[in-house]
Amino acid sequence: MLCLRLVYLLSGIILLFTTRLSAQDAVEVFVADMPNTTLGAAIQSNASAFLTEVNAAFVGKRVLRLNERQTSSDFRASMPELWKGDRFQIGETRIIEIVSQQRDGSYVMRNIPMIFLKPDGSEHYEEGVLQFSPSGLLMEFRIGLASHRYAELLRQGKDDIDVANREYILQFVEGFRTAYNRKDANYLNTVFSDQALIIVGRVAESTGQRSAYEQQVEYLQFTKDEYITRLRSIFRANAWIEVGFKDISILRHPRYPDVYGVSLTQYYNSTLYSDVGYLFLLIDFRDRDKPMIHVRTWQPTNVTPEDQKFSLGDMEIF
Amino acid sequence: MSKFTAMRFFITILWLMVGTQVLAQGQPSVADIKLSGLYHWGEGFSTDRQQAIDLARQDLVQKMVVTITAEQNLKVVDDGNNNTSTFELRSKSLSRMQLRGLDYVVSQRRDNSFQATAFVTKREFDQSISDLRTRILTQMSQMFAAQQRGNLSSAISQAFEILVQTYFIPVPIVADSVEVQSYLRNQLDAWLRNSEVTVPSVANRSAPGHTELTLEASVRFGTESASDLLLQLNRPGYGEHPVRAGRADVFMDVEPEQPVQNIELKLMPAIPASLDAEMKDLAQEILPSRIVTVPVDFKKVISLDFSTTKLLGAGYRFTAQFSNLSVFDLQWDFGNGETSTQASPRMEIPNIGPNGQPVTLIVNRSPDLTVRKVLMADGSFRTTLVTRAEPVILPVANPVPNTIAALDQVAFSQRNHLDPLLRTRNAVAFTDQLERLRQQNVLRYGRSTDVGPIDQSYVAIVDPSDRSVRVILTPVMNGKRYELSSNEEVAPETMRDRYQGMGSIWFSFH
Repeated sequence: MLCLRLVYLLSGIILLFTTRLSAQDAVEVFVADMPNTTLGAAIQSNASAFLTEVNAAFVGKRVLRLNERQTSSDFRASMPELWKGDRFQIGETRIIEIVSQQRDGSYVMRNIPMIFLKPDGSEHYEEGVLQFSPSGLLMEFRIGLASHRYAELLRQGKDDIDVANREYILQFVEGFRTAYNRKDANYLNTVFSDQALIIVGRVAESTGQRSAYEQQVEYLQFTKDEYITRLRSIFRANAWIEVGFKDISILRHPRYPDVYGVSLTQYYNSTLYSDVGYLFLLIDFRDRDKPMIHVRTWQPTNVTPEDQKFSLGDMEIF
Repeated sequence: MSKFTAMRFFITILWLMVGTQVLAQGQPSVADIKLSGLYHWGEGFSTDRQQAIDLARQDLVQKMVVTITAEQNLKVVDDGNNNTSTFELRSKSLSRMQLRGLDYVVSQRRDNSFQATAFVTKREFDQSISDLRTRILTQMSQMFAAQQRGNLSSAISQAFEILVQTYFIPVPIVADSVEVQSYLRNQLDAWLRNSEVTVPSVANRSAPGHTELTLEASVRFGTESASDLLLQLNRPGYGEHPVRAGRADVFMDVEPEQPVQNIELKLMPAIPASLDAEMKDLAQEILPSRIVTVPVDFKKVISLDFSTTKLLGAGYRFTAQFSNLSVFDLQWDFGNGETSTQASPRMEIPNIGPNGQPVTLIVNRSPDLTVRKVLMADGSFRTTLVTRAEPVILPVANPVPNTIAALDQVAFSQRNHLDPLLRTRNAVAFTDQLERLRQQNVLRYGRSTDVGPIDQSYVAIVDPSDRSVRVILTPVMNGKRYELSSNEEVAPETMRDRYQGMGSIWFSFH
């Protein structure tokens, strides 16, 4: 008899847990550094509603239903495009994060835990970034860098301007990556300068040599228009495209402090083609209101220049 | 399932639930820490657990400084070297504080990185600040007590130490540290103005080919002999000398151009030994000082005399004695129609009468630099006359512009930065200073190709054998560079030969 009661009790406990689990679709977001403010409340409410909807759409295997009072029109246009190729759910039911204000007055919340489900059924973890308008409306969703790597790259900034530039660069890189995932050629069209030098390359035949210059590499040079046209064709041909970045390093030009080089490893997977390449982007902040990307190159190996900090070993000897 | 197994399973679940609850009571949850408003907190992310904790502490300190000072500059480079902003200084100061009740919550994220939250209750932090405030106020009362006792040296020393500390202290600790700074600066300036600096004597320790004078200075506050101060010749490249018991010996290695001239001396508080290295660096930057123009009488330094040695028979050896290196002409008049221009002439003077024989030495053909003695028959002098009535300008054969003149050619803003560079002999410390200035966007440095054109670029010559900075060359002016220490001209095309085997560090100001 006692055994039966215990079984009932355990069943009750299990039922209780099951009920709680079913409520995991709901995500509560708290903005830790904006207590009791109208903006903080708006960000909390809009972020909670969106992330809860992501979980519901994931479980229901359906399209996202986005509320126009909580999201901008750009967000409502771009988010479903990402959702077509990438489905994910939120890894926590309670998210307590800070937001940081950007140059343009918008706010960014990082470290949103996301679990992606790949077409083959495997899962992988990513961290999302939400960007809000000055009034708290959801403006953009990006697949972000890992929080520790993001913080590390910002810590390497030498001064306030350097840190702000790095923040911009990392946002750009995240946006750039997410644009590929949602196959958004229009976005990519906006981030390159009209005169950008774009070099696309591939290893035609490996010689087994380590040096980049000893490999059989085909390089193609495109204008911005040619590159975007090529991308549109690639996007049409592939049902899904997934791009991942790692090993990002940001280098400030030793002589021109407003010019940065960004080098990163790019993992490119798509329905038809996969490769690993090394990207180098040259970003010019000399016009602070309009940073320009002048160069995008692809390299078969990482040729990141070393830190240019002067040491006594660098002295010229008469 | 047996009855026993089911019971054990149930008890285990209960124990786990209760145990978790107990643990939760021991340490607040991250949600409580971040949302209750009772804590200062900071967060760190890293793949290394300890680094995540360290970063969380650093973030906590930054946030506390922002909170309690309302400073919004969030950039902090905590590399232990750069004092680039007051905000950073305060952050470092708080970093060193023993924060009561500091604790951490660490969790591992799904990507295996660590997330650490450092926290301290606002109440405990206020107590830590209160302890610091009490210490500062005690120091201030000691400063006022020293002033009342008439011990201005001690008051200056204490005021300066507190002044340095105010740069590391968030505003609320002492009612308003900016006001305290302003008060202390005014007080220090006033006390330094009360000082009486004189140079009663000058010692000449020159050797052939090497001028070395010591200004024997006196520093007093009324009847009090000053101490714990520094005195320095106010010219680039000269060191600071301690003032002890009202006295300081100030080194000078240039020839006085006039027998009496006004010399600028810089009086400042000594850097308190109790400060740590970082505070000492800051103390150097904010050192209050008073420039005192002191008339210095170098006439005693230009010592003129001659000695006589009686030789066999009627012979005498006359030897001119002088220590000033500007003596270029000697004229002897032996009173018998014989003359000489040698430094140590031998002369036969027979039949010296009972009134003796007048011998005169005229230096630099100047009647104001004349020594006249009356030589007696036994070789002694009866009377001595030395004439130096008026100031005498000693001509310099080939005048070269001195260091100050060369420095005058460069912009005043650059001189401020050059001054500490000129005082730095260690090449590693020198590049550290350059790096600090580069980070402040003051200059750029590196190889010759890394800096501005030759009319803007300075060159530091480094001896690789001992890593010492030998000399700094000015930018090219009228086709020449100048060594800032000696002001010697250096033609750019001769640099390779002149400094063969030496290293060079080039820098130019923005």
